[in-house]
Amino acid sequence: MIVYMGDGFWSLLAFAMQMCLVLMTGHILAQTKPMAAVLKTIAKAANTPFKAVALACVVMIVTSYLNWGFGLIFTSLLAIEIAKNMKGKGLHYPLLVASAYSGFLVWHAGFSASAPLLVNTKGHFLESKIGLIPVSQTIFSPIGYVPVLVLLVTLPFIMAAMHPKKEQVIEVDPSVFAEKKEKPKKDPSQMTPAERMENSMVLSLIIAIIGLIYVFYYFFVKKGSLDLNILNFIFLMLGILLHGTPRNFIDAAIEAGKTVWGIVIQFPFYAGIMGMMIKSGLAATIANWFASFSTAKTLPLYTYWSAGLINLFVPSGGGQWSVQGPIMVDAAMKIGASVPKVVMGVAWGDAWTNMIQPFWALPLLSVAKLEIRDIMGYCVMALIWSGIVTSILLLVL
Amino acid sequence: MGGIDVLRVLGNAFSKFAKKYIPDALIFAMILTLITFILG
Repeated sequence: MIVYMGDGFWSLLAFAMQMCLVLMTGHILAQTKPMAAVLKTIAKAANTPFKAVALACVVMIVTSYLNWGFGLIFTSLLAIEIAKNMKGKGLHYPLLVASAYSGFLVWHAGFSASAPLLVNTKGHFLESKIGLIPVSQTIFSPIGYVPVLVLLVTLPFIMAAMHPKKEQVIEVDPSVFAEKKEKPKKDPSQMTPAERMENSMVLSLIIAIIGLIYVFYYFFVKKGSLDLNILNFIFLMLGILLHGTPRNFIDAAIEAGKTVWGIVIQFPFYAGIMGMMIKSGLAATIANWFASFSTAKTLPLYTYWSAGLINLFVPSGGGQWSVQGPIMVDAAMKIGASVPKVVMGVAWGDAWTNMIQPFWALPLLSVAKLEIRDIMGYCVMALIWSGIVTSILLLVL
Repeated sequence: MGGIDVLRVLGNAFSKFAKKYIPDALIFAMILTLITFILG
């Protein structure tokens, strides 16, 4: 087990870097004037603590359904903007952040869902057994969208209803959104050539235009799909463009860099845990045990529960499918259960226990300057409610 | 006690428990490492 841990420890480095960039580029972009204005406009829709908590949840549900990376960073920054707007109005800040995170429950049934998209990708590792499964049978089937709709209608209300009474409210610490001090601008005639370069818009403009031409090529010529790399690329180029000068961009990047330490330090531990879970056969043992007493009707449900359990140790959605997918697909074919429903069982289970697993909350917590203990109590309620809803729907749909 | 009160009481109870017993996310990852090690 020690060897499995050590061997796996650095296996998520590329992914950890992508996550750091999701966080940093999103943060850099949010510090630009146009993006700050968008966040401010949305945040203004909340004028009571109840509406604020509900709004954070709704926005996360909608944005993480579209793309989980975008949803995570956009809603994190929106939560800060809401907190800023509601300062002094009795908003319980930990609940606001927990509510924002709870909306992340739907990501694995949305447009960036790893397992459903993977089984619809030519050459996927189970293609010889199950062929290609179109998204009309997974994310766009009732077991894909009905739980999303039920959660969209009910979850914001449940999160908002937990708002404590005035005497228990903990408001946001102003240091979370401390305004950066504007440096006094130097007269261009007194600048050194280096300073003139740093404060010239020309360099930023040329780099951003080159980048944005590539984005056009990627989507319209190469016909690429939205993934983390292109998302980070777009955010980075827009950040360079909208900050105007390289100096402004650098200052924003230094600020954004302070939020990524949690990911840098903690992701290797999860990679080590994944190494142990996968190579020791522990994940397979858990999946096999659940499959052993399933029927065609109950397999999607037990897949969901086992995926929830395995997700605590293997929080990466794609990684989890590679471990659990083959076992559950074999079981489904043996007992005549629906394979697309089993795929969605894994997807829903993977997202479900993220509510009590800090891995995905780290970017949000970094931005919000909170600890996992501050939000987990409220997230348990989201876990219980979504567990009930999804379990029932997996049986009846 | 209405439905909203029940949710508020439950939310507060879970929150108090988490604040008392849930360690920092890094410690959480270390404990999970240990649990996986033992289970394996």
